[in-house]
Amino acid sequence: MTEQISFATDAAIIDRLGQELVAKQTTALVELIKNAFDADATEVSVVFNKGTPSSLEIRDNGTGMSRNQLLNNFMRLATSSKVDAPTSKKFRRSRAGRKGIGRFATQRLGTQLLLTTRTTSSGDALQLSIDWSKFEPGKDLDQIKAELESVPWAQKGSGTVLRIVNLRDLWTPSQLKSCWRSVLTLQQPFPVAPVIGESGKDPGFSVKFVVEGSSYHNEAEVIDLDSELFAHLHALIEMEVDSQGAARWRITKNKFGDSRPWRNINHNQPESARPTPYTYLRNAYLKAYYFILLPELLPSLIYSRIRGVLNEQGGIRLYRNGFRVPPYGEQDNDWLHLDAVYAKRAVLVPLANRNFFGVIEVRDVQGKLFNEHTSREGLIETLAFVELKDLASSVLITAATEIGADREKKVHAGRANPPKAVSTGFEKILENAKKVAAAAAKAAQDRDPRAASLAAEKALEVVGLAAEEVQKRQRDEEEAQNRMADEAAMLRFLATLGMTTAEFAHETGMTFNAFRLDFQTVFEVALKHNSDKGFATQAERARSMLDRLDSLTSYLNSLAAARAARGMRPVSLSKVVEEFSRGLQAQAASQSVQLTIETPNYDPLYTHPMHEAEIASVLLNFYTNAIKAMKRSSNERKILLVADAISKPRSGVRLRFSDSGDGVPAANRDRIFDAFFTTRVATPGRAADFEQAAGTGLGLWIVKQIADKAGGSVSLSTPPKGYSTCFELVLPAEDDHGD
Amino acid sequence: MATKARWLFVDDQSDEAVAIAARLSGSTAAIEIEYRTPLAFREEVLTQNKPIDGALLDVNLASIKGEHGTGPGIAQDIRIKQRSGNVREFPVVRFSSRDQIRRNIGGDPGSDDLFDLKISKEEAGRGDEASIVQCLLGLNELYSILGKIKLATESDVTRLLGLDDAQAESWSDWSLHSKIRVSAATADHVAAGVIMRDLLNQPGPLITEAILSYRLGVDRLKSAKVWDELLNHLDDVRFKGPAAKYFPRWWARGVDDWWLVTASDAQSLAFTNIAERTHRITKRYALKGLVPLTMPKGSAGQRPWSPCILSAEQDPPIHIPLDPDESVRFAPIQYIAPWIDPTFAALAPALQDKNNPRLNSMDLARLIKKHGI
Repeated sequence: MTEQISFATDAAIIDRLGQELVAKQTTALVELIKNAFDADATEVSVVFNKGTPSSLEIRDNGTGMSRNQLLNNFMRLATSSKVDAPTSKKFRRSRAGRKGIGRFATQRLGTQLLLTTRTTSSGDALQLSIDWSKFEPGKDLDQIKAELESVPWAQKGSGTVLRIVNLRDLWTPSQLKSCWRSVLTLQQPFPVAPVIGESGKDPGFSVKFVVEGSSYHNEAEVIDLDSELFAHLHALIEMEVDSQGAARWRITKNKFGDSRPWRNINHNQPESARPTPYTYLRNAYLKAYYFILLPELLPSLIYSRIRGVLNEQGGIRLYRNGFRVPPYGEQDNDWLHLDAVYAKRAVLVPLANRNFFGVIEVRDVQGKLFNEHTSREGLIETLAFVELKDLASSVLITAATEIGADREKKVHAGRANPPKAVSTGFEKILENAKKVAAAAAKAAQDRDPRAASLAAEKALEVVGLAAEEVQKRQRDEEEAQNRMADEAAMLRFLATLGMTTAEFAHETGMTFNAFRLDFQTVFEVALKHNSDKGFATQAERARSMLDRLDSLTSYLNSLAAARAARGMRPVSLSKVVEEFSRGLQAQAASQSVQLTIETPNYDPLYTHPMHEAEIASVLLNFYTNAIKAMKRSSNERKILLVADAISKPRSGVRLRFSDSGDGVPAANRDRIFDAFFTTRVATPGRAADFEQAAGTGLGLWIVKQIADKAGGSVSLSTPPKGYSTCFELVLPAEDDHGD
Repeated sequence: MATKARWLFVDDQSDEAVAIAARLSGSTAAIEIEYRTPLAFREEVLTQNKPIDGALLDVNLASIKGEHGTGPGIAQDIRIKQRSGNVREFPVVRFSSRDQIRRNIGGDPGSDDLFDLKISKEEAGRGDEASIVQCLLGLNELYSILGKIKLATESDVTRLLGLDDAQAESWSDWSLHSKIRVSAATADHVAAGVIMRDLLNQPGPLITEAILSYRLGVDRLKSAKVWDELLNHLDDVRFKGPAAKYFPRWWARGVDDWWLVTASDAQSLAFTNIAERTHRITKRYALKGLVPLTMPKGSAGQRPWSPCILSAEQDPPIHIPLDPDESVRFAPIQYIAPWIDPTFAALAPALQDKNNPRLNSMDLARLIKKHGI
């Protein structure tokens, strides 16, 4: 016999949806304010009364609820009324609520609710009284009754008043402050997405707090963004994803260099100039004000204020359909992994959350792409949300890196010869100290009190000057130390990466060998039993890939062996180039690249003493850049390495590395050797360390460092016919003394 | 050999060792190579004296917990026990990666005499399995022969090497014969070591097929079948001693004699250039398609004779023929017998490694001056 049964609802569900689901009182209050917004309110007052019993009122001038709406929407759990009508009637607002459980936030806040509401078409108001303490476990939900009655309406027009009694929280000053801040940031601080539709009709929405009868206003929390923050920005970074998923980004108001026009992007295709649209992500917009928190780059009077504001409120906030989604962009929330990337020093430009004041706006009125958790804390990890996080992270890191490159260039350009500056500073201090000593001695010896006093004044003046000089010197020193720390951090990171690679190559060498043997046997046996041509081709391809891997590992192994010889010595450029060719030939062939080398028959082309692995590193950098450049173009892929000797302007050895890629645009020619300059889109912050290290714009900078340190040079030169880019590395030749 | 030769391979990386052993065993039905940990090997061979046909020993065995020994250490134990008769005679081969050799042994010849042969694991991974197995089987044959015969006189050694007295007088070296005889009186493995290290494995009285092709001035790979035909004409000077099947070699001075017959009115082989060598050979034997050797870039001269040892020692090895007059003497790491050919480095590799102490600085200076480098 078949029985018809149904779910019963325990009254404890109310506690689950209220107190247990909503963790913070702030979240609960914000949820109720959002309900007022959905009801087309233009003003909301939040009135705290800490008396006995304590209470909290949320008064709005929205459309109110009719009896029908009260019974069928408010009193019905998980109603879909807002899903069915995603925009409000009067101002066509995209409604913030969707799940039909927002009202249980009142249960989170207090034990009793008195709801009074009136629509414009009704006379008296309706008053609903609910005692949440009656909803005890073990009772059926529908057995517990709320009281509804008609009451006079004291206010003008329509509206709703939620009076919550017996508050569960103390609402301490710090809780109030936190709540106030959340309310302040509830709506976007500035528009991000282009204005569409009839939003002009909406007069807006304001919220005020009233505590113990007085309007609550925390001066410290209110900042005039335009005058106090945005007027001092160092760059503005924007990003858009349209309704088809096509993403683009730009930099404007760049204080250190040119603006960057809109550029298309898909972080999954970092090298591509014409990336394809995103698969899931739609209608997302980012606007981020970028700040570098250094005293010399911000007005001294407001430096501390800006730093304070950004330390507390910096980051990228997320707004969905106009309302903020916590916790994204809250203090200590690193949802775009910016702090993590900066802390790891994988990228050495300022890009922590405190360096940004930004907003991401997503429009998804239907709630198909971005859906909040029922707890109102965070979005569900949909594929669109994952794409959004990676894209935004990638855009911000790329932009900060490009700005870093601009800034680095400027720093270099304006920097005098550092050792000389240091020396001058000390000389001045010494000179002033001598003057002080002389003036003091004079004052001590002078018998005439007036003359002694003058001498003492003179001594004080000189002391003042000396103190200023010491302070200036201290600042210079700190700056130099910061630069050194950045460089040291980067070198540590790269050294670790290098050592790991060398160790990996060493450890895997014999494993590859053994694997190849097993694979060969498997291949032969399988071929015996499988005459399928496709299988044979597949096996042959696998074998050739293994060969390629093997030759690369061998090359890395030989570099690691060279590392063992730590001392510097003259290095044969011919030998390094020939070994490079042997090591990379198979890899190049796999990329359809014809790799040709030209070295003298006998001249070994010895350099001034240096590390052999340094030249190999230069070659690998050129090579990886060339491969990327050739992938971006449809030219026949070829690389030519020519090593020879030069005698003018002075004796040196030269390497010309040419490729047939897409070339270096004229606009970038002066900047490609700058630190952090890259045309590549950065990997998102959550990517692994080694991915972060790729394409950071440090490759050619390292090449330049190697060349400079060796007393040589690296530059772009005219490529030979058939090639589009040519890097020329010149190193001093070994002299007659072996130096 | 009627039954399969059974070799044991001692290594500390079991997965890799088993893969290598399986591959080598699979290349022919004549051999079976089994992996053993050092502990198991010591127990089975050194303690229980169970019969085996050979041992392959890795150098570094430190990856095994509690293992403090090394491959050369085990080799020493084997040789001492073989000498005292407590363990049967069998060949011992060093089988390690180039990197391990560089780290643990590089430049120190102290353990060289313990091994009949030294093979790098990399060779096994680069498709040389068959030639490695040929070497192992060759060692088995050598030990087998040495175990059966008595080398009481110099003539016994001459017969062992497949020569008659006249050939021995012209092509071989009496000091070598004497050393083989004396070592055979000590132990089979001592005699085997001399034959392997001082005769078969270094160019001197005997040369390999590659060196033969250098001396004839022929690109054997490009000459394909004609090369095999040419080898037939050199059959009289082919080595026919122990394990000749596994170690194809030619008597170097026999080749010189052959040349004098082939090119009756010409200078000796060493003094002629590539063009003349191939021209005379082609003409004498009516060979079509014999391709003259092209000296590789950086190897000066036109009278190729020896291999470039400096390039051969690289990883992976590069095989370059050189003309000794245009090359740099390159000191061997260990002592070499007087009958062994001197070793050289081709000019370009030598110049690229000019601070290598094994290079002869006078030769370098002379050639730099000569070529105006």
